[in-house]
Amino acid sequence: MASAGSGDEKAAAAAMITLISSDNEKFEVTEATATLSQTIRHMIEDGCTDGGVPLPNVTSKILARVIEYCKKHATAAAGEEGSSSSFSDAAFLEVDRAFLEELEEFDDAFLEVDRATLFDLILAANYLDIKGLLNLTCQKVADSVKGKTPEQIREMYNIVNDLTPEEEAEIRRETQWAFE
Amino acid sequence: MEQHEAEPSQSPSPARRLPSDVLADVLRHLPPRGLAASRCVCTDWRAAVDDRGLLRAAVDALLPRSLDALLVNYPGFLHTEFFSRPAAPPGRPHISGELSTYLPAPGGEYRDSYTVRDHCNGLLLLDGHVVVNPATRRCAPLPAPPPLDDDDARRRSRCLFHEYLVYDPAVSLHYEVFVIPRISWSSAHAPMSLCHRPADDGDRGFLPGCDARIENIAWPPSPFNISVFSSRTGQWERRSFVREGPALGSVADMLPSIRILARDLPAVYWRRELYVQDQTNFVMRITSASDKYQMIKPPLVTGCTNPRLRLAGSEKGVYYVLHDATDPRRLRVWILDGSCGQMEWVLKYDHDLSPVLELWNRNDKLDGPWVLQDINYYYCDEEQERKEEDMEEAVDLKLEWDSDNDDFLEEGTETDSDGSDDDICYIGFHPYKEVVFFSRSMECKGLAYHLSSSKVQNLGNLCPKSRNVTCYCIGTALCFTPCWLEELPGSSYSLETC
Repeated sequence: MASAGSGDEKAAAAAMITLISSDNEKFEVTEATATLSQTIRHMIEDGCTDGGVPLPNVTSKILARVIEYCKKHATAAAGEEGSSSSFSDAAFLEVDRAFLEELEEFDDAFLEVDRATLFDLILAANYLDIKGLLNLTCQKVADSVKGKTPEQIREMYNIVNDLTPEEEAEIRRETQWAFE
Repeated sequence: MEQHEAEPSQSPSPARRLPSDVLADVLRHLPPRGLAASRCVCTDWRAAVDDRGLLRAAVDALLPRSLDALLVNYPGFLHTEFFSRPAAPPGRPHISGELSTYLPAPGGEYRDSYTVRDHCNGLLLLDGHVVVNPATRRCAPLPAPPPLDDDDARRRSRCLFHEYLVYDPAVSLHYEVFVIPRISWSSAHAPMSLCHRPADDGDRGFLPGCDARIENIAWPPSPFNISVFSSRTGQWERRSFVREGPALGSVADMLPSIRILARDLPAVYWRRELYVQDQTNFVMRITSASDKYQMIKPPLVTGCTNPRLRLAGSEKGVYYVLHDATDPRRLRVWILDGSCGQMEWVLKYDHDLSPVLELWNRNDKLDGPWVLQDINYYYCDEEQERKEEDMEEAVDLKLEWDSDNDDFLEEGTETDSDGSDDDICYIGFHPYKEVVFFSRSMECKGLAYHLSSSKVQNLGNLCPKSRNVTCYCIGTALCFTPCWLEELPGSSYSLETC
């Protein structure tokens, strides 16, 4: 069972939050990890996290992925704070850079999911208000659309064209440059 | 962390599950072209884009409609100078006027000189037929224009041809270059091959009073054969434009009234039509889409036989500016009005510049928020090291000029003006606001004059470091407005924007 991020962060060991997925799975995470979500941060501030935070819009499968993302990025945020408070030494910068590269690799690997999962992640990031994750996943979808014709986009995402031929002609006329 | 069994979340259209605001978050990441395609996917996608003005915002980010620099050609200088803010607007890389680092040159070396001939919506046309976007540092060398039918005659006659760039990224990513022939008075030749006339033999040269065949040709001819380059085909094409309305007269009629051209006459591209100033101050309005053109009469200027009008494009369309050295205290601005079916010039401003000149005379501050990049000084001469230090200092000035903002010259109380310093010259028109730029010939300072409020702002020192010049030599500066579209048809290579 998931008991995410409990062991290694001694300082935050006391402040653990329990997240409950739509299918009633419980995930225990550190406050630092959970507060990457603005939604959960507000709940913590309002003191209504005792007995766990129910997340009825997020399945356990998706929540596990979201927590994986938050743990990684919470560590990154902590690392950043640490280095900025100390003197900026070349060694620190080196470590920072290596860490950022690692984070980028993590993000790339994180996005290697099927389309349905990707959209679930977007919805979860939106609901939980996790800016970084929302940005990352939206960018991934946008990249898949970029450079495609409307027909290709429809085919890729099984979208039915409900525009009338007149409307479609009008759109093409308005932005002729985009269809050259 | 333990993974859980995937739930069956394969709905027929995962994209359809996104609420409109989340879909908009996705589409927000797209460039204009992707947004335009997205609008065409289905009604939900169109609404996601349109309800939040995403396409407009994306286009504005690429075409910020801001005046970033005045491009000045100083006589005898190797490079066109950029007169601009030393610091880039927030969030934008600085656009350098130093183009030669990425200009291709015959033999593989970089070109050591270039002159900007024309500007249109962020693209520059350089001499030698190169189109450059200084914002994205892309350039597209064009093939040489085709020789005229009677190349010999052209060489001997030194006909005048002016080249104009036409580019509107809101309509098309493709650009065109028009080569407009002029009557060459001094060399006494008409660009004969451009007229449709019966085939004849013998000398095609033309001297006024010596060649009745040419003198009697209606000017401008119809059809008017103009060489046009299109980036769509990557080729030059001889296109025939049919005149609507009467000719101005015969070539012979034109000769007494044409101006001897020291430099190019301005052109304006406005709403898919190209307006080119003629040597007789008529304006040729070319409609590329229908291969037609029309001649527009100049405004009536009383008491002036050959007024020094300058065509300009700005906020409300096409303008004519009259600021003459013989009457430097008077500025007249007309706007072209086509609302009544006929093209007419309507006098919009008739200003007495005396108060401006007095303010100007009292203001001895030389430096302003704009600086000359001094490309000719920093990049072309020796003593590079010392100059680089100078340059760092110059770039350190974090001043900005905003045509809506401060730094207006204040009306003072002292009046120590002797009234003799009337030596100001019109150098340009703001492309989006009714603001006229002047320079003072002796000091070479730039000044912005707001037509609606008559307020004046000091722009900065226009005098290049390497040489003292007078601004009478500058002529009209080109107004550079950046375009951040990465695509430039025909560009062979580019550098990373810094």
